[in-house]
Amino acid sequence: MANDIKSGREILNIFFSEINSLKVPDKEAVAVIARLFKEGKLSDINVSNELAELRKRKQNDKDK
Amino acid sequence: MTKINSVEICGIRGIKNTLPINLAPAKSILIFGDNGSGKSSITDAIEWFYYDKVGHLSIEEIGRNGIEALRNTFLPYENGSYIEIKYSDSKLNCKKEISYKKPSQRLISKVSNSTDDYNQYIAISQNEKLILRYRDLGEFIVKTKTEKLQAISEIIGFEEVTNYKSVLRKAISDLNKVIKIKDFDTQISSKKAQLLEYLNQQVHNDGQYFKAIQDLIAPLKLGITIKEHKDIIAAIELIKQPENKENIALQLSYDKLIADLDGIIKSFDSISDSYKECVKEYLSISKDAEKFKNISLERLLSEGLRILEKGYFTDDKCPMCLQNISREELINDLRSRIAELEVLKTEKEKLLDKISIVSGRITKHIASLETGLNEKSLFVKKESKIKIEISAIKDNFDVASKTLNDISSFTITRKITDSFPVDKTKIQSIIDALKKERAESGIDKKDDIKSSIHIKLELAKERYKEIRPLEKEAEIIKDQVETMETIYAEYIKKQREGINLFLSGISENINELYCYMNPTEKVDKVCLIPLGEKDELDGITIQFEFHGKIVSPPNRYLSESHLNCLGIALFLSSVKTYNKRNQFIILDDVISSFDRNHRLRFARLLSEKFSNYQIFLFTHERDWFEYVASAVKGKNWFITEVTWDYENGVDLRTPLVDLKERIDAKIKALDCSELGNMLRIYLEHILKEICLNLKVKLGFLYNDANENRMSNEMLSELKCKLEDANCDLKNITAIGRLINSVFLGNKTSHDSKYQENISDLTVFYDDIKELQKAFYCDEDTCKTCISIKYYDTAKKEIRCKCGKMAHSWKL
Repeated sequence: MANDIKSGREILNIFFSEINSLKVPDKEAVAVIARLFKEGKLSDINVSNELAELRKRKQNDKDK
Repeated sequence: MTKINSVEICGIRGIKNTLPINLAPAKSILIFGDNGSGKSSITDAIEWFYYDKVGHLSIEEIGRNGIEALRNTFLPYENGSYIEIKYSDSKLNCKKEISYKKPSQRLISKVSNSTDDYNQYIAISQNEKLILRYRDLGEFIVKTKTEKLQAISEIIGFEEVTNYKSVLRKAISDLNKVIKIKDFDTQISSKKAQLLEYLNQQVHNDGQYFKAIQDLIAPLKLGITIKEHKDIIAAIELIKQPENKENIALQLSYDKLIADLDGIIKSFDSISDSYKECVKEYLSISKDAEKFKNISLERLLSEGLRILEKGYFTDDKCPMCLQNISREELINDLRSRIAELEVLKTEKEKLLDKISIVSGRITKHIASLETGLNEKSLFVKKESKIKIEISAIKDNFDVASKTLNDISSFTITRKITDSFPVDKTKIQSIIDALKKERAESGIDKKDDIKSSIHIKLELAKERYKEIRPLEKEAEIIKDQVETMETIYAEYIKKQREGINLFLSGISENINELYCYMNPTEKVDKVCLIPLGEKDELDGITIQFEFHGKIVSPPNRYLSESHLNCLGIALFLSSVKTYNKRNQFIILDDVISSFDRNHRLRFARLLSEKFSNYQIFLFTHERDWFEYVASAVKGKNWFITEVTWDYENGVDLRTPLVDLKERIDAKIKALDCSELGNMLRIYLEHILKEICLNLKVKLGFLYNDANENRMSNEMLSELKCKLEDANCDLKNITAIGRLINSVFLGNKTSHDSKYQENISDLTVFYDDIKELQKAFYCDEDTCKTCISIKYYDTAKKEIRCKCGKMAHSWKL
């Protein structure tokens, strides 16, 4: 049993390395979250800013 | 798994001179010492070594996590203090020193091992449970459910998991806020209403749009098929008239103003209701403004509670005002006040969240009205009455925005009401006036079909150009919301799985250990249960079966010593379940609240369940020390005593560790002093254990009297038991000789008229040894007493643990 128990860090590493396989409508948003975690920058402000940037980029792409 | 080979401490706490403790190879250590002799100085040094702080010294008065109190008080200024630990893995050996840095005279610490291996080892060790002190026993049990979750999260390194959960949840909340503020549906429906006006058809996609345009230009017979946006541009090129340019611009201006005002109308009720809700809630909350001011006291109260729970202040009075109040009452009072403030804080945060959404929507309308005031349609007439009215509407929205801003700081002093300062009917009348002015201006050129179609085409093109980006923006953000919600749901699932796995594993262990220490009590199925709704994890509680009923929390049903027992079970379970790097633990005076039976069981638990662990076991209880010492003799334990004096500080000395050795020493030295009493105590020890194992029944006595059974009483009942069980041990002569011995019944030698002499005492001792030999296995690996619990039902024999010693026994 003791060997099955994972630390918080282990769970986080596994989770964020696997989120790209989730069935979601916005894969790029998932990639943003995974990247921020990997860089140690997963915070409220960074997520909000990056998702806003992503929306702006997608809006501009769709407008073309 | 790492164990310790040696510890050397100098100049820390009570340890003035160098104190070497050699445990190679990885021996456990049992230390006896009176209060103040220095046992906990060893624990403090090790705690500081690993965690860079000493918990019970980390109070405000001392500061710097207790480091200021680490150095031995009598140590000369220029001398450094240190602890050096050598391990089973020598790569981890390290010396940690603390000394005064010149010229600042600030205490600084340094470590001798800066290798990656060591740093990694320390980082892992800091997350493991290594030390348990008496004061920590009940700490977990009395925590709130949220604090329990936090404590468990810390044990298994889940604080990060909890933190990231908040980040993900906030991301979803922020996205939903953007959606509410932007109010896409209202904006889009306003513009579609105008598109309907121009094209006379509902338009929801490109196909419907192109068809509607085709129908619009049909009367002009242009011969163009509208399939793409460029076809519309081509059609406009064919029919445009330069003189219509101004009309188109003006019409667009009117339509934009009308659309914006229409958008405000559509969202008006929702904004007005939200505004009123916010103000009403604020007014209700501010009725008890004092209560809300007290939110700022939450930190002070929490710190006070922490100090009391840690036992830094134990007097029965408030540490702030010094008013007399029992510590328990004060703790309960603080807990309830903090819980109340948490509720208020949550209420306040929810209100602020609501306010920010409404404020955002109002700000958006203010911005569109400000832009609207510069529309050219408002400059057609000099001193346009409509312009003045729009400006007044904007000012009223400004008032609403300012009010929300003021109440969000909870410092508003003027009187406010919940009525929304903007008049919806006024906005509608402005819209009607604009429509009338637009119609009267003739800019739509209704009489000129070509111009009229041209104008409508241009307007529709502009309007449609605005709708599509809005729809796309709405789609993009809704996709992000759905994506984040999916991530969050999976995250919660993983968090819960991780916690549940840990809790079920540790619960199994806790229950096993607790029931081992309390086998006859009606407590079972002790487990840690997660709490929370809808897959959210809010906290943890301890639940157990008490006299057949599942109950919680334990504080309500268990005594202090049972709670301490539970605390030990929890600590040891955490060690077993979660410590993956270190295989040693330090138990500093943890059995103080236990009665004798629980102490014995605890000692057996350590010996049976933690035999592969290196244990540092400290106690000031002489009897228990001797019991454990005799149990662990010859089993890779170092047994010692600590003493303290002013000259030398703490010192270790090898004791005559158990009573038997002291007796042997006295007999060898022909020293009668105290020997009689020692022999009586020794006999009582043996008899109590034999009677316990053979379930010899004695008549009930209260409290201490039950503990202090006379030996002759036990011998008599033992003899009866052996007779009843038809055991061949009934024939041993030692029992009879001991019953008849002159040495029994005299608790204090000075009461006795009989003068003990060494020869008689030696004979008495021989009888005791004969009794012991009859009931105890002589195998070095066993040494246990024959016991009912090892009863062989097939052979109807009672045995020792290893089975070498066996006697027939009738149950």
